[in-house]
Amino acid sequence: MTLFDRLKQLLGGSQAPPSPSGEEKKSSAACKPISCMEAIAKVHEYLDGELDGVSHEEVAHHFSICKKCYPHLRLEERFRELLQRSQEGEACPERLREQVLELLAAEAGESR
Amino acid sequence: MTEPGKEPTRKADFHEEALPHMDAVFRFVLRLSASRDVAEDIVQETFLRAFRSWDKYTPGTQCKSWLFTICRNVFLRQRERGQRHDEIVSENVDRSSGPFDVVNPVWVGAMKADPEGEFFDSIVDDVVLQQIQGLPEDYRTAVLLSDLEGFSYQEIAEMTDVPVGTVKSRLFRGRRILQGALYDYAVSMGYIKGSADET
Repeated sequence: MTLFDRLKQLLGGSQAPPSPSGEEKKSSAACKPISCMEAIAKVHEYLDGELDGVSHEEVAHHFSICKKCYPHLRLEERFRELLQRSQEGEACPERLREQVLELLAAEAGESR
Repeated sequence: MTEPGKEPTRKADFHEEALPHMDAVFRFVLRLSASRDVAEDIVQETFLRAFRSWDKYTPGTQCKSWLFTICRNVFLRQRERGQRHDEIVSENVDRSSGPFDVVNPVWVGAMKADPEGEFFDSIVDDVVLQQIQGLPEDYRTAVLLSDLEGFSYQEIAEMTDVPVGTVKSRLFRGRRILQGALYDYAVSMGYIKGSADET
């Protein structure tokens, strides 16, 4: 609010303070903080890349500044890393791969 | 029936686009079925069916999810033939009290002793796979498809023929059960100190 607007208010001016411009509204909405409960409720969707109703930046920002909520995120991340690690290097047995190729070759031969 | 001249192209396309997913299909059905023999049968059946239906598939679209859908259907059909029935979720297994239980009670205990989750590093792969195996099938499928294979909620919904909301619910519950089981294991092995408040 400008000094001129403040003076108008003090002097009982009938004009309302100017409403925020479209850009100011957008900027204000983007920076809107989310609560701890909302951040924790959204942690799965955040890690899955499937957020709905709240932006990735808003959730990321909360976890980056909230010491209480950060461990929830960290534990979920470590859990997912563990699942991923558990199947690393597990490949289809070579014998099975060859059997599949033989089946496909036979099928292709029969369909001619 | 495919025209004779187009057979080599069809075969080459299938080899190039579908066969690279064989490892992933094998891993998925191994976790689903808990039997190596059954998994191998299903992998063979899956790729044979996929090859036969290859003209129905649009090249360059989601081949992996298409294969997984076929695989899962083969698994379900085989299971029905074998007359196996899925386990019922026991109240003792599912610690999550429902969708309103936002804060994971397991993490409350873990955060006090090990907020960085380093105890996870001590858990060997076999234990993790065993615990995944212990999940009810619907939850296991959702966790496998999302956390191990990286499919989106929408893809999982289409593959399992349920709404996205159901996928989210199954993931939520499946992960909670798994986390509880792995945490209990870690406490029993001394990888993390258990919370005194736990029952």
